[in-house]
Amino acid sequence: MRYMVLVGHDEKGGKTLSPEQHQALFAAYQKYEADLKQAGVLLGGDPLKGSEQAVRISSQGGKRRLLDGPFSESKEIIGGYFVLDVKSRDEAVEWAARCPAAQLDAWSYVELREIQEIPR
Amino acid sequence: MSASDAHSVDVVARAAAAIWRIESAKLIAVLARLLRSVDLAEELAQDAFVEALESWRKSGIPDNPGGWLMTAGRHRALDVLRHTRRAERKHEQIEREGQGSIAADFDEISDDVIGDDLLRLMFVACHPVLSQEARVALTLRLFGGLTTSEIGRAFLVPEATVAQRITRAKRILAEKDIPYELPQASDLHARLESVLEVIYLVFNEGYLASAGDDWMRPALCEDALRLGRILAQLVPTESEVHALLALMEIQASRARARIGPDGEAILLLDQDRSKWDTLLVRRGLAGLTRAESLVQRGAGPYLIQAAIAGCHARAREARETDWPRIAALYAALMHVAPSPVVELNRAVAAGMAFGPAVGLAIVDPLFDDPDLRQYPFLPSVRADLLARLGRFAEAKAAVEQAADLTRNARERTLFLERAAEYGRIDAR
Repeated sequence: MRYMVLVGHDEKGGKTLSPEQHQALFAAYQKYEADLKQAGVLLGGDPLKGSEQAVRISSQGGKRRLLDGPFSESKEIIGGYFVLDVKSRDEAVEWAARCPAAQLDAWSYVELREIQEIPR
Repeated sequence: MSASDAHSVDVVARAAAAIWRIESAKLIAVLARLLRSVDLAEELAQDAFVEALESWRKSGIPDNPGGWLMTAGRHRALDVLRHTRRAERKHEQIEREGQGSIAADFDEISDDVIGDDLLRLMFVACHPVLSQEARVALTLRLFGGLTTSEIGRAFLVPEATVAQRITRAKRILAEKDIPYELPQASDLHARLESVLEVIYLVFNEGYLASAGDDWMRPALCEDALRLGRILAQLVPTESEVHALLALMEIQASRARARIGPDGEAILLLDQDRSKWDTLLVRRGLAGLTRAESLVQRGAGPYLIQAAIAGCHARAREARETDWPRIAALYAALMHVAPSPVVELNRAVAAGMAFGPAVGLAIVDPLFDDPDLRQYPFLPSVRADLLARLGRFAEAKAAVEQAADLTRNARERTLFLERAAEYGRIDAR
């Protein structure tokens, strides 16, 4: 079973970190990734750049609309993801709970989503 | 007990089961090094787990459940070691010295140490003194977290047989006093080969059986992939380790495409390649590149097989396959791991690359090989090459020979259909 661990956070919260806190967070993610690899469950994952470089694209009445980030109405953004291959939902939950974003204060969280297999 | 208590007990039990799956190999690995016994390590790890379950039911799951289990397990190991040493040595003074050295073993355990312990345990579980069945069972039990009954179902043997294999394996490890050490550099490649062989055996057991009706067997592929990934993280500089993982990932990427709607096998060249799992293909090809970059003294057998699998993976359609390269890779494989089946595959590739006459010239001498006397694919390949040369009467006879040899009813039907087809063309 494949799951995606989505790392969500309040973009402003991340900007209030001191350099030391930043470094500690980086180290925590490195350790998390090493643990996932050592357990043989990591299939992939990446951090994502900030929403100031993001763009939202939609279509209205046949006309393409682009909206450049950052998006004023939403405070929470997806900051990265991990793709895991595990035997059960419980195992996925346990791994998600160990993600640094799930262990920090209120400005970050983890959302766990099972990847839908498309029968082709 | 109220309903909500029962609910929370269930939640803790399920989380604990997941934690056990994640932590047990590390815990057993560390304890096995301290205690020099897989058997005792496994027992104490299970005791620690029972203790954890009781405690977590009262006070909830701790922030660092792995650390919790490790501490509980090590305390138990320390008790056992103190007890044994006390029994062994009467002098108080010696005992104090002994405790000093025990305490040193029990310093905070870093991730590097745990990694080394996992690797030690993998080498011990796959030790050449053990039979292949025992290595497989022990590895799946210790690293895959499979129960003896799951292993039994996966390999279609009674649970009692698996339990017996594991017990006997542990006894042999104890009797022969197999050390919990990383192999010496001179021995490393031979020992690693044994580990790779076990992992690939598990994979093939799952892969080749996925047409069967037992739902457990495809899960064996996942277990093997997981073992391969663990090993690649533990020994990141070995080409063959990455090569085996790449080979398995590329093969596993075709899982959805190789079984038809009625459960029939679909051969590689007939598969709908849009059904291949692109994530696994991409990972496999990246692993292959990494394995190639790590080659020191010539490509190993897994690297060559992964490169062949990679050739197929890169072809978006069957007709884009780079057959000359595949034929050359099979020739290289004949040098490092010669076998008549590899030679037969070389014949197929050469037939595709350079024409059926070239393939036939490689196939014909193989009929003298006693190992292939009962192998239905030898006359089947020959039939295909003869048909492409327009020699349909001979092709019909060859594929009929293949039909006689196979013990698989579905396969026999396919061979006989081909025979009839060749017969029709020949009669025109």
